[in-house]
Amino acid sequence: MRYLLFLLRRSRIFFLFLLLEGLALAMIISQRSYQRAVFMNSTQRSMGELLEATDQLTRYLHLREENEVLARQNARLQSLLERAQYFRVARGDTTVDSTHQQRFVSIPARVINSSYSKRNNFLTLDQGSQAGIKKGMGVTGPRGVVGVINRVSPHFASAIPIINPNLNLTGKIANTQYFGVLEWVPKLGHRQLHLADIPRYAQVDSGDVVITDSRSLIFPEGVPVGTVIGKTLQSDQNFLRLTLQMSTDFARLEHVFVIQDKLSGELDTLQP
Amino acid sequence: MKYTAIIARFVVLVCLQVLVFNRFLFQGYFNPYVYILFIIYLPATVPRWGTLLWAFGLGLAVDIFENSAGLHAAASVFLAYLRPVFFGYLTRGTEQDRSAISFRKIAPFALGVYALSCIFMHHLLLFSLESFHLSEWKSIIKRTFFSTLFTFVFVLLFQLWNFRRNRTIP
Repeated sequence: MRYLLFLLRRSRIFFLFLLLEGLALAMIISQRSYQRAVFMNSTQRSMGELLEATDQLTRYLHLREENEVLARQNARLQSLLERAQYFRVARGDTTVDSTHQQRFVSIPARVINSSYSKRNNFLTLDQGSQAGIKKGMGVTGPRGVVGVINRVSPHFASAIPIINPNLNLTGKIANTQYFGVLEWVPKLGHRQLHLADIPRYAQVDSGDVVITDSRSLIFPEGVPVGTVIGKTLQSDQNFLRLTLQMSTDFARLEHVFVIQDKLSGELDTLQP
Repeated sequence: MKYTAIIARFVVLVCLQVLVFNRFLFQGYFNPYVYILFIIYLPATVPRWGTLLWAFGLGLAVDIFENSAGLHAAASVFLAYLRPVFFGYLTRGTEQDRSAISFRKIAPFALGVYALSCIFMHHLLLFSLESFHLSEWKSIIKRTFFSTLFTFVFVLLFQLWNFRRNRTIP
């Protein structure tokens, strides 16, 4: 017993080292698992406020360009409004219009912190559960798809972008029905993406546009993902792996929309 | 060095890392981690257990801003534990006592070798833990190598500044 105490005293530095490393490793592992660490959640709000303050300084640099993109998007959306359209059917007595029902709702948010040069990239948004954001909702930007919400606090939310190896969405080639898995690996950099598992016989050329697929149940169909710039045969010889130039530039992402699917509850009852 | 000076350094380096150096990117891929200057130049008179605790706090502070729970804490504690091993470079050929090394009295070359070893070990563990897959060893080595060079440039700049400051104030 005395010898044990002596041993403990003599190598107490080593035991302290082991203890601290153990704590750090426990945090890393718990953050990797689905259930995130409590430690990050409790601090996230104050950190978010600080990051927001510093972000206000830098966001003016990109103001002009962002305005231009938003204006273009506004113009496109205005053209979709009911009042911008011409009705060929004469309006008679029955004027109850029930052909359309709102399914997807966009919640605007701003990116206040992000990384795009690491292996496990992430985004922090300045809106949270008070704005109606929930875990699992999709995130799009003015140029195209961005990622999926993974953690929500009352005022902030964090999202996993598609430039993270842990997120796999479905994408399809516009104008055809071929769909595959969107994959990202760090060596691609923040401007490129893979679309894997496209059948070998599919007619694909560089310049073809890849969009989101309604199979993912997160995004509406047709959100731009990128354009094809190359293709290689996968090692199984039966499928193609396409390389895409992403439409979203994660290095200057600022305004995003969180997509709420009003019918997701109904869908979940059919597809367990 | 008094504790106020240590705390001031701690705060300044964490702020610099989070607000400035995390936005420095080389080839959109390599990031300098200059905050470990705190551990490298922490006075040798601070006891070893103190060094470990300081390093843990420092890593945790950076982790909170980077959303990478425990990653920088693990690498920083590792560096703090390993640091006395590299003290050998500093005391070689001199009469200095290892427990009372004064970084201001060391030749610049020895100091450079010491800093480079420290940065390399820290970055190696950092990128290994970040990728968590040994099958990505090529990318780990590449990132460690270039980021080490990148951080080292900033450490040299700091040394130069420190050296000049000491000369002007005798």
